[in-house]
Amino acid sequence: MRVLEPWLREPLADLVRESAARVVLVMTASGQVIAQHGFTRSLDVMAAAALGAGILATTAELADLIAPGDDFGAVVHQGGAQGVWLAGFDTPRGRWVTLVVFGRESSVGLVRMFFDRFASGVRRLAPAPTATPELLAEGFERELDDSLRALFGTG
Amino acid sequence: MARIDQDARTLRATLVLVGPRDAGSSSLLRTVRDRVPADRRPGDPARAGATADPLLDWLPIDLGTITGWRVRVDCYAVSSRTSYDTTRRLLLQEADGLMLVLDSQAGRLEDNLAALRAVQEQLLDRDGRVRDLPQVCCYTKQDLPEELILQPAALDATLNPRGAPSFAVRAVAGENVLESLHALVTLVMRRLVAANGNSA
Amino acid sequence: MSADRWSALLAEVTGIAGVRAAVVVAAEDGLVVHEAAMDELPTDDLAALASSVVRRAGELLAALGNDRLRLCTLVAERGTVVAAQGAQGLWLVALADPDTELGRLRLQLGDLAPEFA
Repeated sequence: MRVLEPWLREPLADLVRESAARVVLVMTASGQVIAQHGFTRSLDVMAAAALGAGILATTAELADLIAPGDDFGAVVHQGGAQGVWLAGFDTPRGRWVTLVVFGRESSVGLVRMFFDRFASGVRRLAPAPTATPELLAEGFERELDDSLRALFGTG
Repeated sequence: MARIDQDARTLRATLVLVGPRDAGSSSLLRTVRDRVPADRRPGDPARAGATADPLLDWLPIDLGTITGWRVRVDCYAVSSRTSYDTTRRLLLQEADGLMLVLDSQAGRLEDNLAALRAVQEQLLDRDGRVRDLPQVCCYTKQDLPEELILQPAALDATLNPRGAPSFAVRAVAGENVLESLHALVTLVMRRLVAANGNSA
Repeated sequence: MSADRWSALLAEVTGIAGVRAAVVVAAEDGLVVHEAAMDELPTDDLAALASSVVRRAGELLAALGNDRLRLCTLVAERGTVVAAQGAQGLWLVALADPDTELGRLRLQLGDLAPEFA
């Protein structure tokens, strides 16, 4: 299991254990990976993130066409031996997407139930954005310019 | 959207290359990839020997440590085919800066304009307003015979009413490719600094 | 079978004093197919968990070389869940208060469950 932010580990571990998920991927709405469990290759993670975010975006467009204003929160694809659950949810960090792959030892209903708990947990545990960040000190642009010149060889 | 991690002191921004088909977005990224050392492209699929993806070209660049912050940008070029509109829209929603890759050939002016209109539409937020993103214009194929292309001033007049920084790009020689990326990164970071209430 | 017919059958279950919900569940998916419940009850969760339990119980019986699971009863301090196997992978699940006539409920579910198909 890999998480970008430590506070996410426990709710993700709960989701994996309770829903008996085989693979879980948490990402931003644009497909940037935040956490994952069960993948063995980083290229697969990237591809799954981009495709999953794309599927939800396409579903949202479909929803806009046929049911404007309605939020088609989740998409389920059921295969012969495995299923895929894709759902978006709002967090203090913006819109996130979760992809869960589950087998016969689980079910859509179980994944849905524990996904809801996972989303609630994330919303509860996510640290609030800092009000006045000590972000970019004086001289940032000058140093950035120097760094870019050195890296790109631009005059 | 730029990801800022206060604890880890990392800053990561998304740059998206857009333009009409065959304008040269992938070529531009290829030139950047060739010029930037491998150790400054962490996670670059090309480093792992991955074959080119016709849908999405992704190039991560480590810009180094700037005033104690680890700064990275992710450059994306999406195929201009309409079947990838959804992916393009998705990326544009998360973009911090745009590189408008426009074909200098006179015969492609309408294609450029159509691409710009499509980008405007895909940048609409939920309230119907167009997101105002830092951008630069790259006029590619300036190395073609003069009689086939429009000069940057004429291209600016038609395609760049906002007066964004524009660059005459000659991809074969790699001229102005990195300069245009340098300018875009600067604009994006300047916007982020302003948005976070600090002055550089 | 029509939705009205399903509702009528479920009403026979919820008509038993103390029964708070009657839910038809697709066991493989753990999803609600049809329900009759008091408003505040999380029937989606009930369906998901009940289907998981009956599947596990069925696996246990199969591993013991026993017959297929037909009826499953979970008795807790504040209530009881009874699940009866229907047809085509459907289960009829009832959630009842502790003072419900359990014997009557089990009989009723056993009789009605095969009707859901």
